[in-house]
Amino acid sequence: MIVRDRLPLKRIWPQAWRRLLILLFFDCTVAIVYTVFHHHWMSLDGLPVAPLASALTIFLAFRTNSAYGRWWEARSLWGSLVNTSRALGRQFLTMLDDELEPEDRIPLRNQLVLHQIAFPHVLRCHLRKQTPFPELQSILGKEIADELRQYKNVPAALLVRMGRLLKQARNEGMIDSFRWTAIDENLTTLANIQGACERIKNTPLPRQFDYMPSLLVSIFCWLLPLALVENLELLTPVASTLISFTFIAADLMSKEISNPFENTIHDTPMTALSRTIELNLREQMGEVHQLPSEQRKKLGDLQPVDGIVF
Amino acid sequence: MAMLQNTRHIIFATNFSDACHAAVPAVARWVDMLQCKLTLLHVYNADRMLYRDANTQLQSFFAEADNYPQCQRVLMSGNPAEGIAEFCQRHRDALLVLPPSDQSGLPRPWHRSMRARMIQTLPIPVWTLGRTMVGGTPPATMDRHLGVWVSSPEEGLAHVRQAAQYASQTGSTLHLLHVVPDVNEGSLAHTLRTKAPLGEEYAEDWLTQVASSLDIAQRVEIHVGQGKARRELPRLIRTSGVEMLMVSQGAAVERGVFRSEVSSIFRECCSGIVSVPLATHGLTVTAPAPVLEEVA
Repeated sequence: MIVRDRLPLKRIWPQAWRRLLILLFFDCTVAIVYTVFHHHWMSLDGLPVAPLASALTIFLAFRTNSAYGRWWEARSLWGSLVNTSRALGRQFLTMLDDELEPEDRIPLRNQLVLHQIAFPHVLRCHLRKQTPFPELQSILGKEIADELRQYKNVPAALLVRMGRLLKQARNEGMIDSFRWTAIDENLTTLANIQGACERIKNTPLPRQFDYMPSLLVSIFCWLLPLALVENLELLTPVASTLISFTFIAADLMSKEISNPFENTIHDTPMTALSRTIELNLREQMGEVHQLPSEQRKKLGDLQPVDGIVF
Repeated sequence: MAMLQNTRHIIFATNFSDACHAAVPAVARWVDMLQCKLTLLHVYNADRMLYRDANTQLQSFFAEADNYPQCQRVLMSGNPAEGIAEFCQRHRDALLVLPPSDQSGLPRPWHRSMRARMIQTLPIPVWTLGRTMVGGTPPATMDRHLGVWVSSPEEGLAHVRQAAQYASQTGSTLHLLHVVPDVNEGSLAHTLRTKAPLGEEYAEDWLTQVASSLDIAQRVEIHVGQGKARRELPRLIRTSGVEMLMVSQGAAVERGVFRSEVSSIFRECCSGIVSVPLATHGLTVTAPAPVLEEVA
């Protein structure tokens, strides 16, 4: 996610320069042919181009809204994941009666919180098609990481593991049915968040929304110099290229934000959010202050790299 | 060096570009599969950037790697090419990951390819991509289809053998790829430069001989195309399903009059490309130069 105030031109330019260069060449040709060689027949009345621009704006606005909707939904889902994780951490730590806990094992409450810490990391890797196992191994240990390797959908498998741990706690008399139901509702919320993220990831913007604005932008950019040349003559390339750049940039930007889980600069900042969740839950467990200073430092907030937080 | 399977260390040289971010999933898979050490290396220009800022960027890049069992971040100041080379010279068991530069869309008349320089000079394999694949998932080695480009007999079979060994160890299918150039009366000079076959049938025979000379038993498939290598090689990669391509050091780089570039043949290739050095044995290890700044 871009967090800097200004969007540098270098972010748009690589995708736009080829189209703009061709258009600039065409604009110059039109201006010269019209002004120098007096081929006035090629001038187009501005009237039909103006409604086209209006129609195009509607298309572009519609596509941009749809793309932004997807981006914002992705961000909201991850915001909701942060809240649900904190709520679950609190429930695990306060609702499980530990008097009955055998002393020779890691307390179930801690195991559950560690699973909850692992969940956002695993979900992030799942959405970015990245392997989650090195992090799983670091958080939950090699045995559990190896056990989860057999699953294709690791976040879902992790939720099942959490459900089983909860069932174990219930069987051992550490929680009653009411508390179990309350915690299970939050686990279902996690599953819903994962499902919604997968829906965004696996469903592209409808092709009609995507294709039509691009096509119309191209048509408009080619017609524009013909409509401007009568009034602007040799200055046509300057105005035409600038206007074309505006439309092309709008077209490109809305395209880019429509996929918020694609490991690009427009991604939801999932790495930063996973780390926030980890930090919060480890604080809830009272672990942070016991960690060596180097590890504590690593758990700190992520700083933007070149104005971008991943 | 039984190259990849024995890799115990991955050096990911980063300048925090989009291409570097795009390469992260592949690197993560490498680290997981090979259970190796990961070094995130950044060489910064001390005249343009403060140590503090460079360090902050390095700590935030690929932040998830902090959870990896063996990860270190190394920050050096100086010339990037020299810094990376210097560091790699001291780690001969490593694989260098060097993604392509971001495309600027502007002409770069004085640009010198750092990747080409690294491929030419370093005694370790270099993993890169033909082009920036932002948004895509660059393949690593979870694949079961490993390609090796056999461009001419002159380049030798060292990289083919290493690919065969690796394919055998990972149970992958080995694909031998070769592109026969278009032959016409004007291209006879080609035959003076190389002994590569000038017909598809001859090429298939040659590759069959190459395949039979590989003493390690594995599945080998041969793919031959005719035409311009820049167009045909990506097509062969697509049709064969190859997810990673091994090439010889010589074929990876295009030598020009004033400078060398990574071969433009790979520009449209979607698979990861590993350039295998010509000789890794018998190289003397030079005394390590001091690292200017190192961050654990």
